[in-house]
Amino acid sequence: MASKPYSEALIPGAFKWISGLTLFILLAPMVVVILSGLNAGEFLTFPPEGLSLRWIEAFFASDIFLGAYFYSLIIALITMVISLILGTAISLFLIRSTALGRNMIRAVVMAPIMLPGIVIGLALYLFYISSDIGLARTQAGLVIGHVLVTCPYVIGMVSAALVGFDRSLEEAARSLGASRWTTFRKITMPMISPALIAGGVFAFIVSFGQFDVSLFLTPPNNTPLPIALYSSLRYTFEPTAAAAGIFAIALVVVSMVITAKITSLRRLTAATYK
Amino acid sequence: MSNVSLKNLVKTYGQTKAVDDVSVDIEEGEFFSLLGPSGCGKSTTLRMIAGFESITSGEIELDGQGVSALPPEKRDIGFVFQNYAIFPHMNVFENIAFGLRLRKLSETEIKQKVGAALEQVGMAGLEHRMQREMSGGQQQRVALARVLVTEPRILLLDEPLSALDKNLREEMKFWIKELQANLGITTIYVTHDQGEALTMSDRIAVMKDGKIAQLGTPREIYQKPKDVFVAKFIGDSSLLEGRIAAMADDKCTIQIGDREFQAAARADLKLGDTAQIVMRPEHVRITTQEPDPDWNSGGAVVLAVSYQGASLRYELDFMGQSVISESTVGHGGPELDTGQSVQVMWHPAHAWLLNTGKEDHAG
Repeated sequence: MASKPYSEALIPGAFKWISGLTLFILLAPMVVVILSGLNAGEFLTFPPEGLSLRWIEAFFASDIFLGAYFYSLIIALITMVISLILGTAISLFLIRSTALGRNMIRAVVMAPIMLPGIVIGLALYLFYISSDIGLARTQAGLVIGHVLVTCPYVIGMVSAALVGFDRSLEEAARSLGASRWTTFRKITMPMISPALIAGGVFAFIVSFGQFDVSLFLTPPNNTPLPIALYSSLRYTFEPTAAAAGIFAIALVVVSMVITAKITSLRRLTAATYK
Repeated sequence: MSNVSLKNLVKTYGQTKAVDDVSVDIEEGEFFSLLGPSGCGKSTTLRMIAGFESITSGEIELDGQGVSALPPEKRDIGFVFQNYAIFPHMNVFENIAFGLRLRKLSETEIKQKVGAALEQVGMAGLEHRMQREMSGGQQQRVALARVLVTEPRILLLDEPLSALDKNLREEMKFWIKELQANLGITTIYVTHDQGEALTMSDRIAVMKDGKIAQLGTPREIYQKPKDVFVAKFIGDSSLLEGRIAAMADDKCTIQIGDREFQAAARADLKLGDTAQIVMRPEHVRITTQEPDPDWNSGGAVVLAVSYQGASLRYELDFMGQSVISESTVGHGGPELDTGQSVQVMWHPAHAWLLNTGKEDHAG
């Protein structure tokens, strides 16, 4: 207690209480899901009627849930890769170009983060149907929707790293004989990698848990996990859904922990390494 | 080793002309400085030579070949940045090896060349240091090694010493000059520090508002400034304004108020022109005795005395104009107090004239 960092001592007590309360409100539902998934009873009830792994086993035995889980995983990975490439390219343009109208472009590409997902999903669905470009209820159409809502996270992260980027490093590489692309690969990318990792994880998590956008765009033969959970709970009230929830939470937690290991928030904001 | 030719180089940003019709030929092996205050276009000129900035008009030639269409990586130019630009995610070895790897050298060759380069800059044994573990001076040396190891045709230095503390700056100044002389590499050096430019350069281009104000050797620039701007920018100087009262073959007479002073003649001055006498502080002597009749002299009042360590600096009121005199401490000169009346004197050979009759160079 005596060796509290000076900076922590400056935080007003009320703020600490508010933070604690917020954290509790955020975490409490997860505890409910985890305990419900370990329920020994027949139905999704809380508090659970004793603990057992029967619903975990049911999850592994269920084609629907296990299939949905892996389908979401694959969609999230594809979305992450596309969002990273697209988001990085857009960030480079937004931060470095002096072209007119770049502020408007920034507003447009960042808009999906502020619009309700359901609106984006509906809009895309109507667009796919009415334009008849063969994307309605296809995997590609679904991925496009996910990229739309995850890209702003990548743009936010990568832009922040690029703002403080010392461009003389790139110029140094160029005059030493590196082409634009080599310079990006050997200098820019390694230096903004903390932002890329963080942006990628955000994109992955947001895509994996995406419900609103998926609702309209899900292909008929494959269902992402959030939609599968929703459909299941509409007709039955069995704890398999909660068990699947446990694995969804686990995946997010694991990816967060891995990111924290690779990078840190401090390095994220200090991409110039000064 | 190469020569560089700048031909009517122009760079505009919107309405502003950052570089305005700069032409200069830089010889093979020359140490050439671009000197000027911030915003004079010196860095922009250097960055255009490196290929970091596009050229609005004009041409840059390396060994007689235009390079303005080439990207930076095809120009074979070494560039050292003000902040050194050491790649922070690579150690010293990898930083220096960067250019060599791009040239597809074998691993043994790279090892050998990096080793030699580190030796050359006095950084042997520090291969594994990272950028954050090095002082500014060490980063500077690594930046130079990284550039020199690729054997560039010319070396461009953009204010490389400005981020160093004074003692280190002095040391690096001589070190860089010596390294450059040993390698014989054509070097263009950008600085706002006239001391650096005077010490290191073979020739200096003093720049102002995107134009070259004067081009010459350090001695020419210091002793024979072309206009008031150069006179004031390079070293300290006192300026006395007067009118040409008489002209002879090698000397002329300037009238200031009702007094006359002698100065060396200049071909572009005519009888009746207004002119300014430029005097360097070390050429203005102060005496309490009768002045030498061959010298220009007159009564003055000491306005301020400042102690500078090795020298004493006096600010004097001479006929209503400010004159600065500097003398080495301990040379037996008189120690003077503020308000004291003295005689100032300077030799006609040390009175350089500026023609201010035609052009307005106030600044």
